Amino acid sequence: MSTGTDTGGWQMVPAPVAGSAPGVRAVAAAVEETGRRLAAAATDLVRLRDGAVWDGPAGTAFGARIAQVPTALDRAARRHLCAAAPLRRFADVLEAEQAFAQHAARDHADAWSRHAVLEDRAAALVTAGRDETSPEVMVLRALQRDQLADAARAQARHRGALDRLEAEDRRCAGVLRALADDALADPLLYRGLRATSSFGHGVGALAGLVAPAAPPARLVSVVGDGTGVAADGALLLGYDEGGWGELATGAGLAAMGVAGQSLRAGATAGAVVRADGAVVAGASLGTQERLVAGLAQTARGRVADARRLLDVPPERGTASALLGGPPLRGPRASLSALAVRGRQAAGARVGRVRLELASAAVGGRSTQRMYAAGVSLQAGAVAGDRLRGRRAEPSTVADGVRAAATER
Amino acid sequence: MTSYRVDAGTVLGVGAGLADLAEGLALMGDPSADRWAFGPTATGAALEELLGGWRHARLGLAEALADLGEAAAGAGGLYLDTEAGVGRQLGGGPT
Repeated sequence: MSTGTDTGGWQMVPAPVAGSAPGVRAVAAAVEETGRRLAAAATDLVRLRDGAVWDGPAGTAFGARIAQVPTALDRAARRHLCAAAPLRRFADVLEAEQAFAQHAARDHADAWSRHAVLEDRAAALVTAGRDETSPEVMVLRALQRDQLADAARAQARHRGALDRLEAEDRRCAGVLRALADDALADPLLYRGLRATSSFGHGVGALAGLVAPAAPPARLVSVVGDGTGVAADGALLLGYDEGGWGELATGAGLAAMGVAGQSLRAGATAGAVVRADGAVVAGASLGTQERLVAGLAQTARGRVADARRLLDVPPERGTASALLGGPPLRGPRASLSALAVRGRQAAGARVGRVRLELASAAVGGRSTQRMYAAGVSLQAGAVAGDRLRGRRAEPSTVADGVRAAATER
Repeated sequence: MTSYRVDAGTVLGVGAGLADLAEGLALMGDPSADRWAFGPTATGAALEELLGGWRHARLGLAEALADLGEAAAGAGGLYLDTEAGVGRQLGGGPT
């Protein structure tokens, strides 16, 4: 921490303590909420994974697809959940010591104000002919010494507040650093490449802006963005991040002395909402974030399409509802109603459905709770492969979902 | 006797939840935006490292969740088809 005293003159003024306890508490709440969400998702997926009873290729594929996801989610949840309590404690200490330091600073200022008043009186007496050995002036000097002592004590209290805050800061930072030391942590090489990429493109963007007025900066622009492009290439090769198209575009623009970052910034313009609810500038997102977000948005769009086709109320479904969720409709009524809607959407090709059913039956307890999650995930992928490349009239609901997704 | 514990809507609910979570993970953004609240403290830097220092795993996780979510969309439709077939087999629905 760099807070302390302002040494603008011989009178050292205790500086205010930076930071916002309410802000830290808000961050703690957001971090905790994110952790809860991640933990809930991990729990759901664990139940999916461990509760699957489907035997055979479908079940195997489903298990392989889920495999490590809950573990990674669990670790991510731990990062967030375990950080909340230390942050709240830090916020409490910050708030208390900020108030203490502020109080000490006020006492310090008051003491020096009184000292100044006494100095004025002493000066008036000296002007009137008294000297420093006169009783009146000596009394004033003694009172001034008292004020200096008060100021020194206030300064010591201020220093004590800073020391306590620094101790808590070290403790909290240690806890957070320990939490960050897990299997999720970015490898060192990856961090270096990311930093080089960001720095290179950042320098390129900034230098590109001033290039017309400052010719030497144009060279910096080329070098800077070239550095970023090189790091992008390493990220793409080593960590499968980014895209060849973007790399080629960036390299071409950098060679022309134009900052490739400006295009990227344009593509990412606009605000986005983070997982913890905070709004951040879209420009802070890298290529990979946007690519993955696009994947997620595509998935969400497909789910929405499926819901529309199936006429399923959105509020019915939650990730936690798959197992032990809200009660389902009666099997006979549900099957009857769904069969009507399914046939309306499905058309004539029921043979494939029967084939899927036959496959399910071979698997043993195929109609148990994990049937839909396990069997259908695999079946969906298989059906997608079959349908890919031809745009036949939708004959099943799944076909319709896929067709709708394609048409969008 | 066959019994169902889930239906197409539930499967789609799973897919929607996973897709939302994937998007949230992908858009977590820059943790330095919250640094102001901590002032020049080691805690602020450590928190930034904690929240931002798992980018590679975070994006991989988001991608996996998006894949699962998208698969669930197809699964909901296939499951409904399957339910329809079961209904016919059991004689519970129109043929």
